[in-house]
Amino acid sequence: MANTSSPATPSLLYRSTWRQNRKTVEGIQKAIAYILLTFMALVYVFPLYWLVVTALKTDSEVFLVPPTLFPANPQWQNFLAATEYIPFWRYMGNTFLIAGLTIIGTLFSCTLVAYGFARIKWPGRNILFLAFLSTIMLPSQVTMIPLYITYRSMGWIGTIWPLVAPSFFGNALYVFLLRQFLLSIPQDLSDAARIDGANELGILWHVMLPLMRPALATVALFTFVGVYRDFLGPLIYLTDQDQWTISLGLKMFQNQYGAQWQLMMAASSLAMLPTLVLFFLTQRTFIKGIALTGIKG
Amino acid sequence: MTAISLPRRARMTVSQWRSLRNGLLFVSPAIIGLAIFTIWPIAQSLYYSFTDYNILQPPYWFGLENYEDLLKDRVFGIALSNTLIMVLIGLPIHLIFDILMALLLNSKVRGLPLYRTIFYIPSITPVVASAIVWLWLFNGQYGILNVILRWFGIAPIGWLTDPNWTKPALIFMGLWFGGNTILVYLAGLQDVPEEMLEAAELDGANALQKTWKITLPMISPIIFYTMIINIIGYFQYFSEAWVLTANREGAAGGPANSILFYSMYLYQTAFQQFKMGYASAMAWILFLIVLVATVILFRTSGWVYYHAENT
Amino acid sequence: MLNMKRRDFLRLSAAGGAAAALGGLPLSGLAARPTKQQAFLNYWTGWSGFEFDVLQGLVDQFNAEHPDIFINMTTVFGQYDKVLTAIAGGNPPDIVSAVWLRQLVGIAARDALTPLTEFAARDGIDGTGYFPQLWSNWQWNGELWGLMVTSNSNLLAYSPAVFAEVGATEAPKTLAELDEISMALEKVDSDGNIERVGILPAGLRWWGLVFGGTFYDEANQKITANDPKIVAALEWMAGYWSRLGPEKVAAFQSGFGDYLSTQNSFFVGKENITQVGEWFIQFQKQFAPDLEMNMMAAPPPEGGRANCTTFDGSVFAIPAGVQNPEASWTFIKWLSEDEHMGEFCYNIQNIPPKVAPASEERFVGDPRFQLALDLLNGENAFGPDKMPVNDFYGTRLTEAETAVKAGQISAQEALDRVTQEVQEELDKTLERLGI
Repeated sequence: MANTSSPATPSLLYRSTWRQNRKTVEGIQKAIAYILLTFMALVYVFPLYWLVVTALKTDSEVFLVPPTLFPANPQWQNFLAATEYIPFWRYMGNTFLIAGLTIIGTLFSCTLVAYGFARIKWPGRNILFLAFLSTIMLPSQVTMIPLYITYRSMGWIGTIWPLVAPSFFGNALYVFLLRQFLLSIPQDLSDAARIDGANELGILWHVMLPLMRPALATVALFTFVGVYRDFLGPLIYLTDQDQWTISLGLKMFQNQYGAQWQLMMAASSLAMLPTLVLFFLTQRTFIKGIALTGIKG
Repeated sequence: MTAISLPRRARMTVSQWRSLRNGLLFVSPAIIGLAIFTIWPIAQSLYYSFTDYNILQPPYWFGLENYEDLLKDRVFGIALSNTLIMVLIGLPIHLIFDILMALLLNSKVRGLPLYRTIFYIPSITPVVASAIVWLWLFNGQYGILNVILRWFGIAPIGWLTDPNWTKPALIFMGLWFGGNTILVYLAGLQDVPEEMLEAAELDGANALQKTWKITLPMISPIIFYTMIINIIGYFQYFSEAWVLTANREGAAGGPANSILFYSMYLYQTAFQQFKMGYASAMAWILFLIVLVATVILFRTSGWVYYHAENT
Repeated sequence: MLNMKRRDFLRLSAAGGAAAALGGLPLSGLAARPTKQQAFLNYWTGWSGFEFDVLQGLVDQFNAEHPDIFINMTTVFGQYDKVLTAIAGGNPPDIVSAVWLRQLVGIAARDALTPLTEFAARDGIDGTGYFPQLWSNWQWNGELWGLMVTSNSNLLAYSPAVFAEVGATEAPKTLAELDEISMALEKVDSDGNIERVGILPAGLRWWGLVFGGTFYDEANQKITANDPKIVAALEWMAGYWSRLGPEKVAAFQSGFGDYLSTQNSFFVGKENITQVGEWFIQFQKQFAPDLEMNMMAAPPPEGGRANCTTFDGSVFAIPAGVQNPEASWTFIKWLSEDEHMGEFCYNIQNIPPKVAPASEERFVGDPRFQLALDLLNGENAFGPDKMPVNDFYGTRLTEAETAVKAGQISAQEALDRVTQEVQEELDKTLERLGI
């Protein structure tokens, strides 16, 4: 009888030290994680910090070695000066125009197409979807040249149409995203509407669209960022300088005035602003959108 | 009871027919787009690859000469090998680094939204603008990277002037640009069921074993997805290298063409020298390479573990 | 969080449309609106900065004198490849001067230009009054392809004050003397970074000719890039790099300021012997008015060519397929008149391609300008080789030059390779053209 208590006590002791050890190990792991993450975060932030700091320096301070971590005399007018070297606002306007048209085209076509692949059952649907999806894997170089030659014969080189027109025919990645979203909506909603006599277009308009808002917002945002960042497309098709986007304008700035680093950085910072501002206003949509694209290959 | 064997495809009912019609109508933009922007151009591209075509004069049949010339083209070989190096070395480094970062972020640290934002933002900045910052960071004499190296007593590196360092510089820069993949992995990691991990812990698994045996397999579909998406991107690598090396005359590719990539050489051939036929041949070779790579990727995707419960 | 209305879809589209509309605003509006009766011509020029401003003054004068034509000039900031891109893209400008003389034959061979032969014959422009070596370079395959309104010849600029610092009292006459002065001028700081250099020789085409080499055998249509004298030139140039260290030179050059500014590497004393054209005189007046600057011809080595120069320059041409070539020609002809040519050239210190304006006192009064003019008229003045793959040749030469300077390949090997590759390209092109 005296023996019954003895086995219990060591095991209790054992478990509590085990938990303590585990807590310490966890604690150390967390600390290491913090240190690494903070270090990497600083590394990631640094280029952006350096961008703004360099933009504020004078042209002689830029070349100081060792470089100053903070401008001695912040030259805020550099930002304004940079916009006068190239037709900055015109290029911004062009970029927004292309982005706006592309967003309209993308939302319009991708919604229709995704609906057709997700909410209607018809033979051959899956095969066609896979064929459509496979265009993601197509390197753009293969179609670049024939499309250029075709656009040329239509007189479209030097206009924004080669950049905008394809968006009206669906984008595989966004169709995929919207289709995922649509698939998760219960069938009863559609069935109820069908019983009420609605046709497919009606169902899409009255039932699906209101529910698709977050997904559509994501697509619009990603489309905007994609157009804003596009460089090769404008490089090939926008031969007329008046039509250039901000990316082309920056590259020319670099070719011509790139040695004035402070102005170059100022121009680059201004160019980055729209996407950054957009991000901060719509953070949650971005983050959710990434999760949406990442689910199930 | 006569055994009438009905043909497999019996006549459709009215509603089935309507579904087919509606379905096709809705996806018609995609189908038309597929024909206009994909299938037809691919065929045209094949045709042009057998011609010598400079746009201003009519195409001139060349047979296989473009392909023969490509085999002998020294610069083409350089561009191809540079691209393959980025795909086979740069891409894995990028993905592995991002997985590690995502794992770190997943360990319930405070301030997660802030970290997430910091890692994500570079990937939405315009490539031209950000690459210019890196041009300055990489500067041999005034760039902060070399200043830091000198501080530690290490000789400065010619990041963009030494052919041996240009690709590492690009890979390094690519890690900065590719932060969005970290968030994709993080989203996937957060979906990994807690119970599994706890169960493993009780069985005595340590962190490493948990990660290797449970976490990674659980997100393997996402890893596969990012591989597919990124491999295309790496084969089409253009903007970053172009911004860093293109000068006013349109020459690009860095010292000894060390960062001249496939699509840059193609662009120069097609849109600066206007040798459309030659460039089309290049495009088709890339097409075939990517096709082969995709098939290999899919064939060897046995390690991808698909969960049963998702649709 | 799911209370969305379909109105939001409309709102999103509206936002997209608003962005489009907002973006559309800056697109309208030109400086001066032409009237409907005027022929509206787009002219792409390669000049920028103050040179652009000078030309704009002349364009304004032309527009005032010709009420039925309006010339709208934009600059391509020296990115001359944009011209061919636009021509190939099917929407070219009506007039271009962003074409280098060395590109002219190549572009013409591609059917990208409208020949000027008939216009010139009709209006009596037959080469009289022009420097013959320039005039002959604008003809190819029986047609006239362009006219130059400015021309340049190449020489070296230096500062006598800086020369005096190292004890050089006069300009070097031989290559050896140049080397001596240049090396004396070089300064490296305590970290091993370069602070100052004499000359950093560049441009194999020029130095190859100075050394006495020949790049193209026109009679046999053979590329001769591996001429031993050219190899020697490349080895000499690369010698500077290997002595100073390629990495150091690259780092040094990456810190240069804008060429067209007060921070020009010569004006701030980083480079002290620089390869320029006579147009640099105006640069100095604009950006470093207090600097005393002299010019000299490139000193040759033993067996090289004395007073050797290359000339190039922007050519005015009419792209193929323009709507109103007559109006385009009117502008080019007007600008080529002695008075206008003289005014443009004087304000940017270029050599007028015509003898009469070039001999005016305001030009030759400056001994530096006179030197450039003498070089252009000398027996060792070389224009670009007249063959259709000249641009390609130039690109491969530059690639070879860069590689040899960086120490990646020997001069002989690099030039052998260039010879072989460009010869193949030339043969193919000539065959295609049926020449």
